[in-house]
Amino acid sequence: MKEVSKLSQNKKKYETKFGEIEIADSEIITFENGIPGFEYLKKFYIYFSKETFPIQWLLSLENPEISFPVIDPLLVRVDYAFELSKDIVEYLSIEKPEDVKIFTIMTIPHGDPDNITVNLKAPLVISKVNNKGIQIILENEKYHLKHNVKEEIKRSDEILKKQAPEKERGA
Amino acid sequence: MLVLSRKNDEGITIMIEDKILKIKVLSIEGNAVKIGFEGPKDFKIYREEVYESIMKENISATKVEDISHVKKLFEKK
Repeated sequence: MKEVSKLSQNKKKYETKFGEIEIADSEIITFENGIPGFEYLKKFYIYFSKETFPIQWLLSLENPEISFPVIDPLLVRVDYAFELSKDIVEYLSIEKPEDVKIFTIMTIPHGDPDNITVNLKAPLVISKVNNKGIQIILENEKYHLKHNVKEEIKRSDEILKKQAPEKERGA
Repeated sequence: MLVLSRKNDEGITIMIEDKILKIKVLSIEGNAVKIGFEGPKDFKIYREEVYESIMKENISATKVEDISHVKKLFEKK
């Protein structure tokens, strides 16, 4: 039996970049080690904004000044893949790929759309099972801190075209 | 900074409260030292320059002002 009423009781108000938001305890993501550069911040929330989609926001619930624009990496790099180490799988209490959400952090320089980058070297891995999050660092040399988003999208489009030429729509 | 001199195969034991981290010099070749670590998983061990570069990237990611031009990149032609 799901205790719906219990969930709503646990909602608390938090001050964020997007104003005051009501968040249930069960929606809070705990980064026990913090995020490099922000080790002192532990509690975060993924804020979905229709207005900024496909960009979503990792918001600190402890410091409203701190938020990260994040994205599903597959929207930028269609063949993005990596393996999670045993330690991480254990830490996140996960069993199958659907138990995690993966996000990558974007860096968006002001007024310079050609230089928007995404950090594929250090993805955020968030467990839907225990609501823990961690920013891992991949040893894979394919991935770097700054992938140009424009170029990656172009590359992904080309891969998709090759894979399914019959699905290609006429211009 | 505490400075200790260690030879090949010698180590250092670090204790934080009830946790022990063991560090050992495995080999020295030219100017590269191979170091082994042994301890509970609570210790996250990083190459310093890698950790710092990710730190810097994260910090610049928080300095976003205007994202109106970002959506355009994802609009299908």
